[in-house]
Amino acid sequence: MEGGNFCCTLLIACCLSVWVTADQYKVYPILGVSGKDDVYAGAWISIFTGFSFFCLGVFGIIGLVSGNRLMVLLYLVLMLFVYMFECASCITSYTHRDFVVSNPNLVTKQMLTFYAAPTAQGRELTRMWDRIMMEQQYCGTSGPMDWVNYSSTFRTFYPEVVSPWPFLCCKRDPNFVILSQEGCRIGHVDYINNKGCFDHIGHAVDSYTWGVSWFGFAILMFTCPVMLVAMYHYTTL
Amino acid sequence: MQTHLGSQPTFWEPLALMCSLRPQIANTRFATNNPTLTTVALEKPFCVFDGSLSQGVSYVVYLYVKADAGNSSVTDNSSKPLDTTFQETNGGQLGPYKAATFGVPNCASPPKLSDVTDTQKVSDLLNQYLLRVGDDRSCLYDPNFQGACNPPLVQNTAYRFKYILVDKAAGVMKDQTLWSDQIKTNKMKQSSTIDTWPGRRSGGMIVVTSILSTLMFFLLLGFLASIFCVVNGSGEPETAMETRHESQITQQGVLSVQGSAETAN
Repeated sequence: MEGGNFCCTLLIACCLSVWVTADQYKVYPILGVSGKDDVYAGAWISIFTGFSFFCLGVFGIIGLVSGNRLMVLLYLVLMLFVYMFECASCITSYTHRDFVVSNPNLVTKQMLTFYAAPTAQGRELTRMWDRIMMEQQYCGTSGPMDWVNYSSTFRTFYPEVVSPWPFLCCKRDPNFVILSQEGCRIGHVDYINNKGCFDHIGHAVDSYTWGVSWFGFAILMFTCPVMLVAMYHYTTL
Repeated sequence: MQTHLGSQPTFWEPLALMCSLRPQIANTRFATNNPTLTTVALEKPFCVFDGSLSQGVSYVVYLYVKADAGNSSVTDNSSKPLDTTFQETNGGQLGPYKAATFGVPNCASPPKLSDVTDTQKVSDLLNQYLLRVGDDRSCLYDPNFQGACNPPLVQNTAYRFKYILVDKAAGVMKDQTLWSDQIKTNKMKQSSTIDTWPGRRSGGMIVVTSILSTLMFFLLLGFLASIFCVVNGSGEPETAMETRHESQITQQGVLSVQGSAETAN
């Protein structure tokens, strides 16, 4: 009956969640530093629930085939539990996405607070921002003016006259030498990366959320009738 | 400033240059970060003093800076330029201070702004074209520093600027621009005041939450219903079936016992 397809889907769900937790965009520090990494928690939960669904699917098939009423009852109860967890994972992932990337404020504030801060979190976040700004040639969250308009940890270490923004915001030649420090300092468009990183980070978090939430959602939509059918079977045993 | 000048009819030029020119802030499309918290980038006075230059005399241009409120005289009674410093005027609050001195910009061959993309020339170009007020962090603390100190300005303060042309040998002012319009340095917003509230929830979140809650509700309902069905329904028919089954067995047993008894008989 429903078993074969069901198990396959759940294995795929498992894989997807592994993809999320592996964090190919490497934006985990942004979420981790704030103590709000629910997308990853969601992904871990969905790995767990995916696997549980798979095992329970096998268990349920055995129960139904052998016509053992107790096994089917146990199957239903456990399925309900796992279902609840998967729901929670979907909903928290999405809520968390809204919290982090519905507007750039949170990411901006975090960047200003932690960039260049001499703490473990600060170092981790600084590394991440440096890497994104360097690889993607972005600057700041919404643009270089983030660094200028707001007070920040970075500003306490580097006066504005010398470096209004981190030097990784400056455009560089292929040898990674800054094209012109003066040009970068006054913000001439040819010497500074004008684009903010928010799109990149938003895209990463969005695609994780998409994976965990919508795929989980699809699985749950599929599991619901499966369980209803199983309940019906249970009453006719 | 050059483009501005270029568009004017030539016969207006001397008059315009003499009377109405004032220091201009550098084009914000050219220098996007301007004014900043502590600096203001001004355009150098190209062609502004041309009417006052005479051959064979060497000139120098001074830049005076004052906070909006301070008094505005930059020369003493004998039209000698004041030699006030940043500290003496309390950063321009009490009166203008001399922030920079530089040669008269060359009107005949002004820098080509299109050269800015050339990384070899950009540094020179910016030096020729722009004057960054508030550029020097160290001069205030350097006891050996000579000349006009140009330390960082104060944030969120309105400043005015004035260029004057000085005859180097005589040491007297030959010409001056008007005081510039107010140019206010930026105000720094505290990053702790950024509001991180996400605002409205996205449609996706609402869809996921509402549909999943509904599904969960139906599943629980279904589960309870099936339990109820089984407990309630199994009471009579199933026990009846079982008893019937049992009775059949007992009957069979009885029959077989009877049968065996018969055969025995």
